[in-house]
Amino acid sequence: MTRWTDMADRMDKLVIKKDGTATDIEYFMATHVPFQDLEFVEFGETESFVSSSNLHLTEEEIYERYIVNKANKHQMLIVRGTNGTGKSHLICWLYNRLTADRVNYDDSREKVIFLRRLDNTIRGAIQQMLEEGLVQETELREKFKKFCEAAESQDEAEFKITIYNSYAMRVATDTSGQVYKPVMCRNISSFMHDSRVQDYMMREGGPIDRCYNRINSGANRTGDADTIFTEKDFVFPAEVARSIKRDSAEEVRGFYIDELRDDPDAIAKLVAYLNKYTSTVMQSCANISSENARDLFVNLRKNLYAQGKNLTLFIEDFTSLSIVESELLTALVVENGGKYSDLCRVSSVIGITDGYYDSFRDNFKNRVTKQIIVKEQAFSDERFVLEMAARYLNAIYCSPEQIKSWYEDGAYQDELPDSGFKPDFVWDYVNVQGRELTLYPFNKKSIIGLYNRLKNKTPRYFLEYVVRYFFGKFADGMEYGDGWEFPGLPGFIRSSPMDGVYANSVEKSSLSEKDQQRLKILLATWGDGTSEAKDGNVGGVSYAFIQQIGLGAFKGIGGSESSVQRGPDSDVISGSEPFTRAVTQPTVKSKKEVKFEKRIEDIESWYEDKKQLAYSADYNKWVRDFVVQGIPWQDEEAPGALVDRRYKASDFVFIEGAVTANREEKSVVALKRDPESRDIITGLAYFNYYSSWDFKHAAYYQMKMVSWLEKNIDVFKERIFGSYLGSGVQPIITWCLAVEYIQRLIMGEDIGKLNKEQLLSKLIKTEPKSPNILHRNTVWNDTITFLKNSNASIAEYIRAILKAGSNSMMGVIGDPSTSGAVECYRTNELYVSMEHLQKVNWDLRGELPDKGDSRFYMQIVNHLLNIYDKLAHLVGKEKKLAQETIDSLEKILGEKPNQQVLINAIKCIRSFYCICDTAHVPYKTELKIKFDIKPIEYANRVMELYNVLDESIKQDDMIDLLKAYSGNPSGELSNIVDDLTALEEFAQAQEKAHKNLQGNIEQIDPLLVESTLKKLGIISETLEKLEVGV
Amino acid sequence: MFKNYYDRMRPAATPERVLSICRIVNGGKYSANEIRRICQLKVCDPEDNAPMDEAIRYSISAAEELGFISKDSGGIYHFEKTEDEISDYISFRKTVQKVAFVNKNSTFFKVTEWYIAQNERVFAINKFEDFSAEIIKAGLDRVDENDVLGWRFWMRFLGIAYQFHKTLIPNMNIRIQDAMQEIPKGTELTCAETVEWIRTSIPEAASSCSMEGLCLAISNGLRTLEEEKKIKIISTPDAAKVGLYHLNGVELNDFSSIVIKEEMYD
Repeated sequence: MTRWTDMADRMDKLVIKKDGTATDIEYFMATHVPFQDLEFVEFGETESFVSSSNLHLTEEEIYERYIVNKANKHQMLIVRGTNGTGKSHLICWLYNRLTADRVNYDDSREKVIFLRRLDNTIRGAIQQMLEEGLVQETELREKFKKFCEAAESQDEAEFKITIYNSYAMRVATDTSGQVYKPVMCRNISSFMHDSRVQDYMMREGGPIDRCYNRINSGANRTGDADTIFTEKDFVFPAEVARSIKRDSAEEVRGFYIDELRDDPDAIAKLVAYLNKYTSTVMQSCANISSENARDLFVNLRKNLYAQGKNLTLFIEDFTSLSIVESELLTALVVENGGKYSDLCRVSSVIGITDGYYDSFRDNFKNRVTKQIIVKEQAFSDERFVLEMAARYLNAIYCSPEQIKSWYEDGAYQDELPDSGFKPDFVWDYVNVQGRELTLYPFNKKSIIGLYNRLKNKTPRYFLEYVVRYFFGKFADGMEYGDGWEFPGLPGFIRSSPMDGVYANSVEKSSLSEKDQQRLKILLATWGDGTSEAKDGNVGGVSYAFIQQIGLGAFKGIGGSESSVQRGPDSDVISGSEPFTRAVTQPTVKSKKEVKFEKRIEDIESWYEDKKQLAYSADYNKWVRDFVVQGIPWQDEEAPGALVDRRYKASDFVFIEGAVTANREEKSVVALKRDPESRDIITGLAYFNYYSSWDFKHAAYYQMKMVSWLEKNIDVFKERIFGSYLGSGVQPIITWCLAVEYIQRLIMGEDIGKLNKEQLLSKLIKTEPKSPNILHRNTVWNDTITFLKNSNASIAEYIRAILKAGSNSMMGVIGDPSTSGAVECYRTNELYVSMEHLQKVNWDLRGELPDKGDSRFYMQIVNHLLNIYDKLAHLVGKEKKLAQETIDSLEKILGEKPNQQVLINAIKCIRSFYCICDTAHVPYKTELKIKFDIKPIEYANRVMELYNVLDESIKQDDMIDLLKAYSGNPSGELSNIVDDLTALEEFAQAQEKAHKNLQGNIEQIDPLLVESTLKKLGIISETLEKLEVGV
Repeated sequence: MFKNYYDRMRPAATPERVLSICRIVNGGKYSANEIRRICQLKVCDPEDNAPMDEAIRYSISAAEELGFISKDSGGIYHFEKTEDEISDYISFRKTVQKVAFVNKNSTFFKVTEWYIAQNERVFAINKFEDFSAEIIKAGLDRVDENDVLGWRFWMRFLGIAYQFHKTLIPNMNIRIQDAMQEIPKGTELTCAETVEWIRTSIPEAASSCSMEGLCLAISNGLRTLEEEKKIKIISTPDAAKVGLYHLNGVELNDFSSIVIKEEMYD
């Protein structure tokens, strides 16, 4: 057996050459697939192009009726079609069919010339004319030779300037007035000579570059390069346009602004006008005249006539002959006979693109005898593609000698050589002319699938990018047995993933990642997209073949109920069967369907090709909904309200490789780029599209999604609740109760003595009240300000969590109808929380987490810790103030207070005010009012405050201190001390005044002075006695 | 909710509320009105005699029907189970499972049994009113949409199905796992033993599981448990096998035995 590498070499060197036009004729004929549906249009008008009455002929019918030309008629056949549709192939076949036709072709009576599209250049065309002996006049032959040499040797920049100047010169010397008046022609010439315009026209990819390439470089041309100048060439970039307006000469600026700019019709007219000169420009570059060119063909016809011969001319691509375009046409359209009786009959077959044909002048179109329209449908049905693949593979498997011998024996299709090559196992083949030609290593599905996924669906691309590419990889693997790359997909073929539910089985196999990819491509493209093992096949591909390409470690998974046993495919293809089915059958899709398909492709390319996930916003929402709705949070003792809050936050889901990815560490759900994530997102995409589970493989996706959910449920809960999700008690509720309780104490609410039930009702069902007193303790005031300021955010949040989180919630989280409006608290949990809080005296610092995954939880924890910090500072300061207040009171009373001392003091004070009244001594009423109280009540209140503060001094517990200070006893007692101090100061002032009065006594009533001094003396003594005790 | 024959499955009696009430009654003996006041944090308001809210009334009924609480002649409720049975939601769930699926005459049991037997036939249903319509067609003619709304909460909680939008995904992994915890770890059950065990221990799935094959909810439940590595599903060539509900793309669509792994008890 021939080595596989030799076959690959044969493929490259003989069967599928890089330059298709250089294929040897015997291989060309051996691989040619007959055109079955060629549309035949009478005459040359393009208007008659679309007509139901047009004939549809096979290539053989065209050959018999028109190329053989038994009636010896003058005719011009145009073969039209867009680029890549097979015009060249058809013309080449017609030429070879004729020259190999021993019955109908007599070279002594018929000169057959085939002008090929060598290098796609004018130079190539001229060289062919020289080689075919068309150019018989010596002088012209020399000029052509010089042109070819110059085109080859001349500096590119210099040649381009020559071309450009030639255009400009043609315009400048046009005095015909047919398109533009002479004066306008001069303006256009000036315009062209403007340096800015010239630079733009000479740019890479510009018209002169295109013209140069047409002549010389052989660059592949595409449809828009049929003409040299295009409308786009005169729509200047803003910078160039500005420069022309600013710097150009008057006539240039005038022509551009007034005649050309912003006028599409004027631009189109100029483009057509310049393109008209292309042929003559090229002739001038070759230094030949139009007369020379015309004579070339006229002389040829005359000579042939003199020799008794006729001429059949095949031109593969008329565009390549643009140098002699009009002269050639003139020479071809003139029918022999009459005054042209010295010319031979001409039968011409000319390949031309639709675009170029449209630029023909009508008088030429009128002379066209027939048009053969080659459309994509002529080669794009399944049977054509399969036969083409089978013929090329057969040519690869045949020895060159077999092919050559067949061609030399007349290249009859019914004698097409058969390599006889077949794999050892059943494999797809195509029946061609009675022969079973194997498609190995392809099968029918892969051939059609790969063809359909080509960006350019033409035979040329198919051979190059499918047959040649995959066979080369296959042969390499077969030869060396390792380093397999077959059937890896190249970038130029769109991938088509295997059925998502089966991909997992491959991904879980022991194959390497690279081999898994190969297998997935094989099963998706060669097979039925599954991985099911049945009847010696895996996923519809022979297991023997899978073993052969080094993937035998995968034996497939259990059989499917719905899969249909699949044997080898075979079609009988007889050359005469009409083609009815196109390979791709476009269907109209709804917007929703298109959107869905885009998402499926997005998910596949994200996983398979590691591309970014484009529609991640959709997937995030779907995944979030599934997680939140799939778990019965409340029933599993997770506060539903908290889940609902987290659900509404934007960063619930992180997906690796998403275009707009959330932060993984902040998300509840993290999906890696792995098969499981792909399955989940794909399942959700299907659900979203169908709005139910009524779709293929739904049960599989459900299983995958639920399994994933169950495997990760603890992670999700921890990401929401941290590690503090309780059972029978919720730490978060305990924390919120602590915040609420401490906050209310700081605010001064009188809740210290409430029982458990009262306190719960108060904390959960009432709003905290803002205090209206100002503490002497600035830290206390600052803390109140802090709590008030944070009310809008965290404090409100905590209140909401406490209220909603401790209540039951009916419904499914994530569903808008879910409600926690009905009061049915999980009271037992609250009781447990309360009991715990009371046990630890509301100080949770020892049990709060330092850090946690739950953002919401940590917000509460941090707030509570913050409050504890402030509280420690607050009570520390308050304790100092309490001591100061106690000291002040004792100082002013002169001893530790007791009820009797205080009663005496208040009596004394009231007596003092009576004297003041009697003596008409003015005093501050607001101070006096403060002592207008029953002495026993006054004494009890002061003692109560004193005792609270005195007891607090001995306390260290922060919460106990807060409870003690919550009602602001220090402030109240301090005010009492202040009042006593003020009174003392007032009394001392009066005493001083009394002493002054004793020195100036004649000015006052002596009796009043005596009485007053006597009473003041008593008070002063009393006060002095009080001070002694301090 | 779990009564014999004619019964309504009110949505207000959710598992969360029923568990909460069980815990309250576990802490003391209360009348229905006292339970209401405790649930509504109105204990300190003895004058409060607001009408009984249906969320609390139906939840008390459900707790009573499930045997967690009972009412004496004086209208006072007593707790009837052990504290362990309500110590956490899993213990509570297991206790409920033992009661809810014993009474085969309850509407709850019948609807659940119907749902499990439907396999993929429920896939096209994406509204609860359509669920009730299908249930009525099956002969349970007193079930309305409101009943389905109440029933589905317990389906989710008891580990029969997962709700996603207005659909229910059949997958009994939690129900199977709860039932399997009575089986010692490392036990290998043959397929015949497995079927028999299912028919005995998971009565609501008994009519959908036989030696001919297992229903979708049980099959996918077993597959999920295997993905969680809690069981091992074994398909030995040439051994007697029972079909799992067929899924394309999975390794096993039948099994000869099942091994209970240690992870089941985590």
